[in-house]
Amino acid sequence: MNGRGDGIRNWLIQRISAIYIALFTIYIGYFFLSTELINYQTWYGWVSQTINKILISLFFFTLLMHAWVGIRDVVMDYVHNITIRFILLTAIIGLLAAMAIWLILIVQGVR
Amino acid sequence: MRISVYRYNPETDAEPYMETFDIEVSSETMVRDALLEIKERDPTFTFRHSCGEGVCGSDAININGSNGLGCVTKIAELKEPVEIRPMPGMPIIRDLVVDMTQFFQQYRAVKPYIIRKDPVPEVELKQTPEERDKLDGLYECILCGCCSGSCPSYWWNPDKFRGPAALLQSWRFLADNRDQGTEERLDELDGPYKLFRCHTIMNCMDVCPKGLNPTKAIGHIKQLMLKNMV
Amino acid sequence: MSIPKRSFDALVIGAGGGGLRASLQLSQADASVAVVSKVFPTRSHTVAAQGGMNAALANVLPDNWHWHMFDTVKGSDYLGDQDAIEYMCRAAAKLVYELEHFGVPFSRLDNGKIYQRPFGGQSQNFGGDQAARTCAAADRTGHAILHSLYQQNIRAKTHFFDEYFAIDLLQDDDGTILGALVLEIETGEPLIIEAKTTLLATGGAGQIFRTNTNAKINTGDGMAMALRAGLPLQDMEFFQFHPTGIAGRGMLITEGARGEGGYLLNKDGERFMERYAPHAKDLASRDVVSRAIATEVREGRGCGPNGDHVLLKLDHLGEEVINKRLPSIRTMAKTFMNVDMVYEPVPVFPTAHYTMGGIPTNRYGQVVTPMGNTSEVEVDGLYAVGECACVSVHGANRLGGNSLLDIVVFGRAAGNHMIEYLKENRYHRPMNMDSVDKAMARLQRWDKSGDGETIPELKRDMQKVMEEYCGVFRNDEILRTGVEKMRDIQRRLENAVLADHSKVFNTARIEAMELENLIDIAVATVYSALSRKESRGAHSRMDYTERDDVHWLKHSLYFKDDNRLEYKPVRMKPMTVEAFPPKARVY
Repeated sequence: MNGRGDGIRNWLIQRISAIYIALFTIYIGYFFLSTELINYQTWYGWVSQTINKILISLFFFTLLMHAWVGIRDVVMDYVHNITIRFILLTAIIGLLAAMAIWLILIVQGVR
Repeated sequence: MRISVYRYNPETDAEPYMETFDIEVSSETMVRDALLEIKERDPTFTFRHSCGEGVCGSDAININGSNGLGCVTKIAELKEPVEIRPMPGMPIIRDLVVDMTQFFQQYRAVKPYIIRKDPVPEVELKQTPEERDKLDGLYECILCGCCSGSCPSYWWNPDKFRGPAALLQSWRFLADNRDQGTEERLDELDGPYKLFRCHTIMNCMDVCPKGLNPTKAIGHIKQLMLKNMV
Repeated sequence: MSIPKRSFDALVIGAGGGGLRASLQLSQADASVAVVSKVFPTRSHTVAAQGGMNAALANVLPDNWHWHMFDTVKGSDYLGDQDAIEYMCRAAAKLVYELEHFGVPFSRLDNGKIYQRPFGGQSQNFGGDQAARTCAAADRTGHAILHSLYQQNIRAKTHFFDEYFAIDLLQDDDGTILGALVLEIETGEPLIIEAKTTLLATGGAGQIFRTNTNAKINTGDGMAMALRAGLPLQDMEFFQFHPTGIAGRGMLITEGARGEGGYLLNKDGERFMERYAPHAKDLASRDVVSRAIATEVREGRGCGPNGDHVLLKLDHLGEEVINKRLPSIRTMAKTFMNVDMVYEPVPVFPTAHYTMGGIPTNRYGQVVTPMGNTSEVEVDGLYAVGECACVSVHGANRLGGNSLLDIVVFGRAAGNHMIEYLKENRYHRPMNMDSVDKAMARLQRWDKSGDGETIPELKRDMQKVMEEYCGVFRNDEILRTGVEKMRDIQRRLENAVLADHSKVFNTARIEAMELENLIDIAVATVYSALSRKESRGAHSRMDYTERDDVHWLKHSLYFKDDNRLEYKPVRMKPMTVEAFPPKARVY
């Protein structure tokens, strides 16, 4: 994992994803504050709007990327045994990918 | 004043231990003076020191949990009992003396010298006072190791992460208008380890005895990398 | 016992500016070079040089190398060798530019050129108006130059032996130098470094005095090695006292402080240098200013409750100039004296600073010694540069800003000459094991245990003797007492023992060997001083107050055996220009 641009790319992903996550948090916060009555109906209605579907998908995508860079950093700092690190990173990728698929299925399930 | 110093001689001691001395101090006594007094009482006590005025960088040690130079740290201003240990994160040779081989290896690795592609003139290369000002806060580094020795990222990956001292020097040359090695310097620092192990913990700037700020220099390198990427 | 051996083309002992400039020249010529240093190279004492490096660049005021040469000859009180001085002053500009290209962050003028400040003893037009000849990187010039030279050696892939202590030179029966026996400090193991040519660049010996501006490591190791190898030391009676050491502590306040406009005051608030040097005032050469301060204090015009210092006033320069040009010494005065020079003057007193004398060399850095009727015969394979050498460009008094120049000019010259030497001496000569055994005996002597003198105590006593009996003012009686007391210390050294006989990083053993070196040099200094019956430059005799060119315009050579002194003439003839004949020296 020492490819050209790898360091700066991950660093950039972490920062950009952080910005998006922050903005999205404000956006969703606005929804909760500006909506008088929050129940399953209004929540379902908000999520089923196409624009929100896209923004939510993007949110989960960036969140997972952000998590990946962060967890990978922690593993690289503390886990020095290459075999263990490889297994750990593979497991984390698997877990994050599974989450991603699951989240896509959920969001797509909203009509 | 009560001073507790770290003792370890690999020839005689199975384990390191702390030894306590009571030293008379004045408001002017530096930690180095106290250590010299200890050495006079016990000549086997070992530490590095030379200039005694904070310019050679020999006597970086851990004083009450924080790295610093013994020769410019007034002992009366410290909390008693004063605890003196070798710098963390570096292998211990004896008492307060640590092995800095890795630290200097990282310094060498950043190519700490001007890279010129064009021929140089027969007189000086011009540099405006403003361009020269950019080197202030960078060239003063005395390579004492206080910063790298206080950096958790360097503790975990001393072989791969360049560390704050080396990266400060990397920026010292990137910031120099006479240097023409920007491309290769940035290429060399790429990858997840050499530069990007820095998690802006900022211990380095807290401990620097010369008041320099490696964290800021590292930030500048990242910005320049980004600028060169887009 | 078999001692491991490493072989190189060239061995450089000492990694200050002189050693590193030479090793760079050698490395660039693809010679294999070993640099041995008892500390990590950037800890070498060049790092502490503050004010700058002289070169007639004429960036600020009109200048040329010939004026610089005149000032240096006059500054040396006519004891400097004029061929070497011409060589150095001619090379200066080129070498400053070269350092700049190496990356030295010199301070700059608005037009982008290197900043130059006035320093003591500098003049335009052979003794006219003040010149501004000292190229500076704020007040950290030595640091900037040393780091750049080390960095260039990294680029050139010089081989470093960091934290190795040189025990002694190795020589064969003809006196040819074969390398050195060194000690790896970390392991305590000896190592033979075999070399076709060896350079001593071990710096000065300021530690012979109690109050000095020098680092703990400045113990004259190379000079003492030369003495033990049967070679003389030249002009050791000339030891520079820097006018402005921080009073009572010794830390250096650069001459640049006066170059930027600071001046000295006595207790009456009088700018007393006007009396001693009406023309140059505070920027007279160092021996003159140091004597003036010492005289003020002796005659009761000193400041402070004990009247033991004078004041260096800088507050009129303003905070901006001080921060820009003198930032380090501001911090230093704050740290060590609780004085902020932006608001109050700094207490100062002359402090032992620089060894003008040293191992005699010619202007190629070759060590020379008298042999038969010839006063200068080259020692095969041995070179010396910098403060440990005596070329002699500094004569009886060094000008500020000329020592950084000296190390760079002669470091390079020696490197070049060593390259030539290597072309004609392609193979290592057979190692002389007797010489190795002799050097090992020096190391093993400290294995002795039992009761005896301790090293720190002996060192303190030596430094006190030298300060009291070989200081700024000397006379026959004082110096004779000094000789007796130093011989006593020499005898006590024989009974000294170490309490620490461990191998790993045994600094006590290193300090013991350093003290042996210091004592040899202190003895050389006091004997040379006793013999010279005149006042010249830094050597000031109350019983012979005048310079005596008829009898004493000559270099002294001290030999360790029998404490013998010989003399050789000063080289008065420059390379190409007319000689500067001795004149009365007024500033």
